[in-house]
Amino acid sequence: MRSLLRMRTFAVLAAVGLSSALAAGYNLQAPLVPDPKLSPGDVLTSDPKIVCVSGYTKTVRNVPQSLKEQVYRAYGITSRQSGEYEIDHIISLELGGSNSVRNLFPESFKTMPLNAHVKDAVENRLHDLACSGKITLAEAQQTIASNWTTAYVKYIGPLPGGAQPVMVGAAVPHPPTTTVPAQPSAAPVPAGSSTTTGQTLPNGDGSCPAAAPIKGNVGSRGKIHHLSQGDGNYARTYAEACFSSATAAQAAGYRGIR
Amino acid sequence: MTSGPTLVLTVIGTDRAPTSSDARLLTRAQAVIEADPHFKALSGASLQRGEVNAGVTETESGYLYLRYDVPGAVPQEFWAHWGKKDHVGWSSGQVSVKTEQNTR
Repeated sequence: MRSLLRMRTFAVLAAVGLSSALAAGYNLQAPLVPDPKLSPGDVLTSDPKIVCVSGYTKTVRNVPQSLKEQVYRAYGITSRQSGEYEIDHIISLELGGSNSVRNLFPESFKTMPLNAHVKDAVENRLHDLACSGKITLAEAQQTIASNWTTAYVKYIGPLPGGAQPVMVGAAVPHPPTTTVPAQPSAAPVPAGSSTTTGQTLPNGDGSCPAAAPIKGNVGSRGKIHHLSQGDGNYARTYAEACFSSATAAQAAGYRGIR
Repeated sequence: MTSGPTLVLTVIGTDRAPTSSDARLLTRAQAVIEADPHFKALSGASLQRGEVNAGVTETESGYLYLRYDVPGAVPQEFWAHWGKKDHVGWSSGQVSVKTEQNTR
């Protein structure tokens, strides 16, 4: 019953988001997954001793803007609105992905229900699994390069809004599967389920369950947690992790706002 | 701290082969990078990758992607292009190589 209610709630939110996205003129046909012919994904390093060190991504350089523009052109995106897209690393930096153009694709924040925020969640999940030794870093890299939507299903759970994994071309280096294993090796924690660390996965719409209302988000300023009260950014923050206490958030590396 | 002799320069975004200008840019960029004090502080760095991004002009940043492997450390990525002077922006990884015309 609760899950049905959640699905209905998400459907309403998705519909609202879709209509506002349409009204704003965003490209809702933006690619949800990379074209493997243009960008199959590329690894910088698979060494967890390098990647799993706190602050690692800050040691990796930024993609020049001219190269980002090349990626937009390659994907046929000739115009865009502010905040509509990011040039995303197919294998994220936190998973050891490179800055080669082979590892870049334009990803929309505005498509619904699948978008860059949703991919961020699976990137973070895979990073946690790889850096805790539950899967290898190479496995994490391979799975997200194959198809991040199937990786989401495998390592987190159903995609938000009842979305199905997106099929990509047969030329994908590691063919994706839409089959959900009965018992994933890494035992994903369903949204709202508490763990001993006080951390849970967010709801599909980026909100947090009542039992763990503190939102964790990873942005250009690193991992930050947002409290439900006294934080003006709380409502608009799309949670990538949820915590039962600020202490739990800090223990997971999410600092408070300044 | 120099490139291996078998590095293959690839071109991304078009079917064309690397030009002689691309090859010269790679060689010159290596020299500029490897003369940088930050680079000299790296131990055992070796050039592993050279990619021409054909969607960018050769005088724009991002044209030639270079990657050095550094044993036990974060690999170093650079983007080289023909510019007005030899310069390495160590934090950005952008490398300007003085155009051959300007070297005369």
